[in-house]
Amino acid sequence: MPEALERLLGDPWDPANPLGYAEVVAADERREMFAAAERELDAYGLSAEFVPSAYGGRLTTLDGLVRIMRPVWRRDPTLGLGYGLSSFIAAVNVWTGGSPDQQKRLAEQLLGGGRVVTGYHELAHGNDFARTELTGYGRRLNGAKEVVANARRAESMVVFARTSPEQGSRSHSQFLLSKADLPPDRLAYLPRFGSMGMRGLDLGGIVFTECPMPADALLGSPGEGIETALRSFQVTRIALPAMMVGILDTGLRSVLRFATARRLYGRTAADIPYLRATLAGSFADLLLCDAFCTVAARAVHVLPGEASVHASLVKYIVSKRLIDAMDRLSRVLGAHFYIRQGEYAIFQKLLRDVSVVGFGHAARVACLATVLPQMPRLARRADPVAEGPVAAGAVDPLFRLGADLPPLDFSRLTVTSARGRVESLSAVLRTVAGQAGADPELRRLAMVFITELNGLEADAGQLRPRDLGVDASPDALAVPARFAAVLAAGAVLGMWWHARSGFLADPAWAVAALTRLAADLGHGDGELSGALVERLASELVGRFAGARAFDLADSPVPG
Amino acid sequence: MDDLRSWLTQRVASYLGKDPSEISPSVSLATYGLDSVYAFVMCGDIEDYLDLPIEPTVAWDYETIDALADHLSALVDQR
Amino acid sequence: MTTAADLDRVLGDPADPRLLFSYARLAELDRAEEFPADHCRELDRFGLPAHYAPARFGGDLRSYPELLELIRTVARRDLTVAVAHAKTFLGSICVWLAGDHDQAGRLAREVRAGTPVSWALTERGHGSDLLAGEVTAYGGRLTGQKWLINNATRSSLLTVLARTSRAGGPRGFSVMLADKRTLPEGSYRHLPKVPTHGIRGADISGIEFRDAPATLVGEPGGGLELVLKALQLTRTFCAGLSLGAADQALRQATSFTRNRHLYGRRLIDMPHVRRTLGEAHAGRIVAEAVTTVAARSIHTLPGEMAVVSAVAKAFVPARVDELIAACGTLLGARAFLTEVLDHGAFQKLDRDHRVVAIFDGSSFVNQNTLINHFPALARGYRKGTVDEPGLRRTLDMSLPPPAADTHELALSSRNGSSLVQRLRAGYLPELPGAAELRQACEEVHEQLARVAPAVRDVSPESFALAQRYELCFAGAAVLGLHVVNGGDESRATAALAYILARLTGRPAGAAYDRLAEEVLDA
Repeated sequence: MPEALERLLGDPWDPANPLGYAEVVAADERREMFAAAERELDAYGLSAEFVPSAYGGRLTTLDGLVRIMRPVWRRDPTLGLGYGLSSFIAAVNVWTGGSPDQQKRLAEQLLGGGRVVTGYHELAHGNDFARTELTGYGRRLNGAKEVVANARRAESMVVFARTSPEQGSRSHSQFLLSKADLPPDRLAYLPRFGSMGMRGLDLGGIVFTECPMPADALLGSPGEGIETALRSFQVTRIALPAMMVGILDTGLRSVLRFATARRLYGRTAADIPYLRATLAGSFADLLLCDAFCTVAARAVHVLPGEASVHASLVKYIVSKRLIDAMDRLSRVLGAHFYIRQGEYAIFQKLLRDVSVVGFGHAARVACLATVLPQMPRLARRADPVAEGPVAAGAVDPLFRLGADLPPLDFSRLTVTSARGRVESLSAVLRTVAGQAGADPELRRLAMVFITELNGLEADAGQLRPRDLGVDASPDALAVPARFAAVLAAGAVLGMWWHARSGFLADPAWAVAALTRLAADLGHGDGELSGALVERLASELVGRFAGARAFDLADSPVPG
Repeated sequence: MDDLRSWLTQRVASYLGKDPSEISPSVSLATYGLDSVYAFVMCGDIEDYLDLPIEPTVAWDYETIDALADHLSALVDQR
Repeated sequence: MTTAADLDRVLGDPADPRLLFSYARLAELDRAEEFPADHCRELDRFGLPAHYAPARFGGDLRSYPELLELIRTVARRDLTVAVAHAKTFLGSICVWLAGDHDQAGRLAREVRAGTPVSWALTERGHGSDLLAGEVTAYGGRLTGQKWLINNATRSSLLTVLARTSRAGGPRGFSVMLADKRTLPEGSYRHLPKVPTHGIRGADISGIEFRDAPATLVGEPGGGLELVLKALQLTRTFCAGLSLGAADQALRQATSFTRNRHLYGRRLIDMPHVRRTLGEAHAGRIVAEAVTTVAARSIHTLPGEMAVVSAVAKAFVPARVDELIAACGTLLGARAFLTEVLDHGAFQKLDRDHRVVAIFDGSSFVNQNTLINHFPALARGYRKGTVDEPGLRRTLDMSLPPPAADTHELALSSRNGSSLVQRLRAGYLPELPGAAELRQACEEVHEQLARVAPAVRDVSPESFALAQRYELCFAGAAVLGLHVVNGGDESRATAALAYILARLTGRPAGAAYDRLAEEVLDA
């Protein structure tokens, strides 16, 4: 339960709380992991959240995992990545591509509080991991992985290696290795990499020299490395930005504390219309990010065949929104965002930390490039080969927080969308838009996205095969970028439509979210009307005063 | 002179979103919460109204509507 | 007399770790949060401080555009050093503007000799609200705390804004000059260095005075007016810091993408990378045009500096923050790691530059100044008011700027902006986008005219409109410089495209691609 975790961590603003922001900042200054919080999370058994329930863990839904992890990310993103996400990213490869024995072995390690890391990254090749130089010929590893969080501390690792000299996508494999099974003299560590943000993270590297591997280390069959990685990304590219939404929550809360406490030109800063508009706009950004992440995370259960598209486009949209929102909030804080001490010092740390969402686990443009080749299928929506339409009601659980979901089945993730279907979410847009009649502004905005979708289908049909490769022009890449905004709008509309009561059933937030997204498509400047600003700002200030989270869950937070 | 005073009163009232009857010409404008930047706004208005170049600091140096009206009408007379 | 090119030679090869101004040494100082004292001494030896004092008081400062180029040169290498050293210029401006000849002459000799001068404006808890200041100077003696002051500790001299009338208000403050070297024991103490996000080596600290004797600068009660005029110069100067940062960011992004291979190609040959670099280059051309016009306007259109400096400060640092972010996406993880790629120069630059937007008034403060000018801007545009000789000398780069007369600085620009207003009736070059710019300018001014002045509840729409005005100004600067001086069409076209993309949503990609071809393949 996220609430239980929040209670465990206590009031972050209390300077006497050993798990509060003062200590988070102090650990960052020392370039150390936040040890006191790690001990609490150990005691809580957080690693069990990364293990599917079939293996004795508590992982049942991706959406649920994200909500569990939000309190950690609200507290300290370094902890979120260093304690949580880095193990999860590695583990998903095993849940996706490993044998039952390997899965059981890893589950036991994680349930015992162990850590697992991935070695994909080689600085020289970045997102182009197929060019990896580390080799695993003849069950021996040779080469290095760089910028690996927790390289030293982890008990086991998933290593991506070239296993065939042939060109192509069947020349790489992944291996699950326990350090205990490797001869220590064949394994060396690179010096730590310093980083601007998440300074406490132990970013290291591992060098293998003629390192023999046990016979049971290979994940899946030889040559499945790229496929397993791409399938796993569909879960983790959603998980990373979804959890990082927690950063914007704390960013907003810092600014609200500042703005309500501070008197400027004779009144509190939170009353200045311009600042209120900035706060309301950032709140709308947070809500739309959470809506898109939530729907995509739930879609992994309901529409696993479309996850490849959802995951990359979530990463594309949410990463930039979060970074931009934090930048705008920094301007509200004035000189205070620049100071590494005092009550608001947490903000400058978050501002440094949030940049990870931009390049970490695939650059934004790499996300677009992943989706681009699937775009022509959008134009062939009526293709008789494609599956029939999604059954009425089948997608409803996507939009209902807490509704039952089918189990998370890693084996159903596919490298590209199933039989070319990419449009279930956009279909929702069409359905809901027809029913958004109650609010004329919402209907108008919904029509903007439907018109865009129609145009996209035409533009996607014009894409030729040579437009789709790594040499893709910016204009070709704009097609998936625009599609991302359409899908996010579909997620927002769906969440609003299915909400029965409360703030989420109020069209105001949906109008605000769609207004922001429409600006990405060149419609308007994304600024909210005065009435919307008031509605969102009063909800935000109310949640701030009542100590509630700013995301869709609106759950209690300490403080 | 009285015209000028009542025009100034109206302008000040409109900046503040108040009724002119709530504004006293003998009270320092700062008391109403008009800070130093309002002078720049007011300066432009006065220039338009009197067709007379005005330094924005006049409203710093003449702090009430009365004082301002006196000063401005002297400037108008000099012209 | 020394030039920016001389200075660049003195700084030397940044890749040579034996040199003081190398990436390696500068990164080391940043990590240790250590003041770049040796670097400042080297700049002193070079003679940079003489450029901070006007020639009429015995310094070498004759041309603000030249001073800006010098600062840009230092900032290009390292913003922390630029901020640490150039503070002396900011600290002494009030004396250049309002001090008597003796006072200014004495200060000029100190500045030439390398004595650090600081400028103490802000106080804890009051931010940019200068009239809330609590430091007093009753009877010529300073009491109270100034905080978040650049070089508060290291300076020997400080100009201090202090309350000289209990009632306060716009005539209740004066600027005072304090000399720590002659202050009685116990009449001041330094407040500790404040750890900051960027410019970690800089001396950002504070000072507390207790009955410390100081001398008046300018008129008693003239402090706010003096500071607001001084800010018109320093805000322009900040744009020079930003341009230096833009140069370095582009250099990093270009050399990285040139050397890096991905998917079997050089990164710089990939279309989306070229587009990003093209846009970044266009952004720099625009920022440069605004800064050039602003620095020359100090000499040629001083009465309009209230508008010009507000545009420069609100516009240039924000565009350069954007440019840095765009270059950062090309560098990926290397924009995040502190030791790789030129010793992490990029991430340092990213952190350092964010301070420029908050120095000497944020965008919020500067856009407020523009909003206060809306009636004047609308009027000036309607009437087509243009100071023709002033504008001509601003734009004609073949003419050196005339001597600056800072007595002509005014708190508000009565005539609006000659540069923008010239667009209305001016001759338009056959440049793609020129007519659209004029059209957009018409619309923006129609909207300006409709905004009712508001003292308190300035609407968010007014801020959005102020941003559109900044773009009009930038467009007029690009166009004006191009009309008068000629020059490369694809540069001017890409710069206009950059502006119109933000003003009207007109697609700019093709213009960026052409610019990229020209600047990257040269």
